[in-house]
Amino acid sequence: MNSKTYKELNEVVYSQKLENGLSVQMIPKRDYGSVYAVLFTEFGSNDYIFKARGENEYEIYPHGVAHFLEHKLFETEEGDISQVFSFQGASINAFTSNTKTAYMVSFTANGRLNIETLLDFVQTPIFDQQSVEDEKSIIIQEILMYKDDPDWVLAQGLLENLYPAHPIRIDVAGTPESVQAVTVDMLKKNHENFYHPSNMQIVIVGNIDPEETLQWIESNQEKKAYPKSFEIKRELPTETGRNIIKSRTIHLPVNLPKVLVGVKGVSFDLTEEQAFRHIICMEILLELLFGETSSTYLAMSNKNLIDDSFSYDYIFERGFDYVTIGGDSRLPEVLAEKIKKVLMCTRNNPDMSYDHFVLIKKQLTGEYIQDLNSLGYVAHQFVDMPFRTYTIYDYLSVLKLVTFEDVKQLLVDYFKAERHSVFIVESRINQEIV
Amino acid sequence: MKELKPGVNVHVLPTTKFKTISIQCRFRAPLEADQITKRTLVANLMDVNSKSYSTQIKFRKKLSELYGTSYYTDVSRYGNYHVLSFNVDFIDETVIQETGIFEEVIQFLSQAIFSPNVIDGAFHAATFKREVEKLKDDYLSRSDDKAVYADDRLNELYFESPEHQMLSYGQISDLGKATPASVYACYLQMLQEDQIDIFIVGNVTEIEVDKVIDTLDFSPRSPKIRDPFYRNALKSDFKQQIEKQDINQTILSMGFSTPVYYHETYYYSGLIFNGLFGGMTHSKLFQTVREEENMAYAISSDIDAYRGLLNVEAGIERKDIEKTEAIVLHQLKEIQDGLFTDRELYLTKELLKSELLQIADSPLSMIESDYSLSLIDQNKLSVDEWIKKIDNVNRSDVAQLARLIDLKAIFKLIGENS
Repeated sequence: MNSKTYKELNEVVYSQKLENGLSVQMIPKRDYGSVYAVLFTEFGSNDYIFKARGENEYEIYPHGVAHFLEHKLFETEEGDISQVFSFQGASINAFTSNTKTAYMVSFTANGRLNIETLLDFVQTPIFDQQSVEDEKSIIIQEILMYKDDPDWVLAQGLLENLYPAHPIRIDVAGTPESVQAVTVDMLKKNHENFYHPSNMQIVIVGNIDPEETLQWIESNQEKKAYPKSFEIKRELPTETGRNIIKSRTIHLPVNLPKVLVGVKGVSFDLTEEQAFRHIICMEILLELLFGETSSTYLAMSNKNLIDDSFSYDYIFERGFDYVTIGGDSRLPEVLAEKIKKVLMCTRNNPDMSYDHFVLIKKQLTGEYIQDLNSLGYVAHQFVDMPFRTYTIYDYLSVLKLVTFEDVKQLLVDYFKAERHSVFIVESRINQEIV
Repeated sequence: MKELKPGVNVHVLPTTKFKTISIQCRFRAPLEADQITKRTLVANLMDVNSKSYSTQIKFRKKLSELYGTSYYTDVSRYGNYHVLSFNVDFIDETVIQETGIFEEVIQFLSQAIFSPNVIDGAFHAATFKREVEKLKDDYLSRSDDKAVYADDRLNELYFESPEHQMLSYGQISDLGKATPASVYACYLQMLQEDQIDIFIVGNVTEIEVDKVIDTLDFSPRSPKIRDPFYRNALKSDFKQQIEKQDINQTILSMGFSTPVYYHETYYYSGLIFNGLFGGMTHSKLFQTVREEENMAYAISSDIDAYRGLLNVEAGIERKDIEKTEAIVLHQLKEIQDGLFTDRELYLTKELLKSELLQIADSPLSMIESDYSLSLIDQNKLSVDEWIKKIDNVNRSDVAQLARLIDLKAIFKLIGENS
């Protein structure tokens, strides 16, 4: 087993790739009472066109199969798996994103049993025709629920602008029509391909003995027969910056309008080392430009352009990357213009000073160490960061290396005007008054 | 726990497992309708600047210098009490081989609490104006989340007195009356009269705390004591309200009165009841409404153990609302009749125990648990004793408690877009 020690942080990451391809990562924290385990596959809503093992043609599947599978795996021969976990004192949750499906378990006892149950229920599905049909109405309810959430509509609307020809523009759960089109055979085929151990990782953080835990996992995996590892051929449209809807406004029955400015990136195919540093640079840059220590933040706040809902984020995933900035605002157009102006101002922004940069690095150092308290947070960082050699614990050493020049260069390179887009949710209530 | 002065306690929870130190300074007063919004403004004003760091930039830059110390204020309702809290989480200086951070953070916290940005007996006017607008936005946008909206309406319908009907952070109609001077007066009252509990969790010793705690120099006080629990003495009538909106989903929100109060007689059977009924994924509501009938993506129940309120909320299709309501009542009836398996009882207990054992893995959960116990003067109750009490609950205890549960209010938000 490999291990990497992070002396400063007093942490050790143990890792091993099993014979069947499953990647295991363990971070023991013996003074905690609980354990948090995540089993995940590199399979999300974007992976809807692929060439299955042994086939020559790419096949197109309906949107939402990954999420549908997530729902269906909860059904096992012993009944709903959440009941089995409850019986073992564990709680289970799961999510599907554009690029991943993850299953999370937390517990304070029955370690072996709970880890094996996690592996077993995800790896050995049963599909029943009737129950697949029944699940459709639940998923359609879920889709409708999100459609009533104006913040979700805002985020999704911006993605539709930025990616007019990319599956990221479709709800992770699919559409009511695509969900209706899902069959047992599709679920089976997708499971066979994407849930192959070579496409999966298990991350376990907390009160564990790594040697013993690895043995449990190994003996569990040895009992299961898998064909050899293979590379899954996915087809994804390669979108560059040009193809963008610049601006859209929709009306919803909300009290407060909302606005999101997005910038579509082309950095997603950097090498791991470059990407890790790039992500940290972007984090510093957004903090410099829009953080609570920036003059922009204070000015927007004083003009009542923003409230506590204001936020910014950088999404970097397999196959796409983008920045979002915005929130609730009484004057969404004015706020959007202000944000775009800051993004385009590559010289003479007083917040882009060396002193401010040093301060933000200090802030991020402390915030990073604070986050490490949470086992769940640590485990999810392994899921979120699509890297093989870099983990969350490498953050500090890379942060130290980032220079002010790096960050200034990123400002010039990333926020090109042709990659901007704005999405606004206006209030239908106000409109009627006017 | 140690009493520093009458009405001022410090709770030190030393542990080396975290890389941080967390401090919370909680001010507690009786819950009074005309004070809640003003106290919220106090909390919000003191979250953004202070006398020594008079702009948000100066204030936040100081926190960045202290290695991104996270400082925030908040308010909450614990039954008949209202609590305003000043909180900091910061890095344990030994992790980065620095010294003096602990003292500096205490200094910062002290000046934030004792020296707000006040001029001539009133909060700084421009900051005040801005925070009023922001709070207004907060109230307005709250109803844009429909599940939250339905919950708020049910709360209004269920309770009879305004201090319980409104949000724990006040109401929009009070904003017009608040002035920089009246909110400052509210702050002074809080500083002089509230019960104060200071919590410190992390790699610190009582001796280290003793050295710096005088920086938080509160005067002695004799706080007003209340029964923390809201007990509805009178059997009020059942109330129902229906509202239509241009949304896709329909939301059913039901409020039941219970005798479940934090660590009182029915508390442990109440926790198990809630887990069995709708609080956990193996619960009856989740299993029937979602898994058997395939009607809802989300259905759950929740108990407010300071106010004895059991709340059920479901997001469904418009056509299924009557059926869902009937199922909820039927599942309650089943538990009242003892119709649940030993297995269901067992796994509910196991999950509850696991949750209790996880408290010690999070500084904020540790504070929350300690504070809740201090509210009922049960500081010495250990997790082991607590677990024993859960283990001792039997089937008839749960059924008996369930029979004391009464439906009091229903709010239906009908989605007209379906």
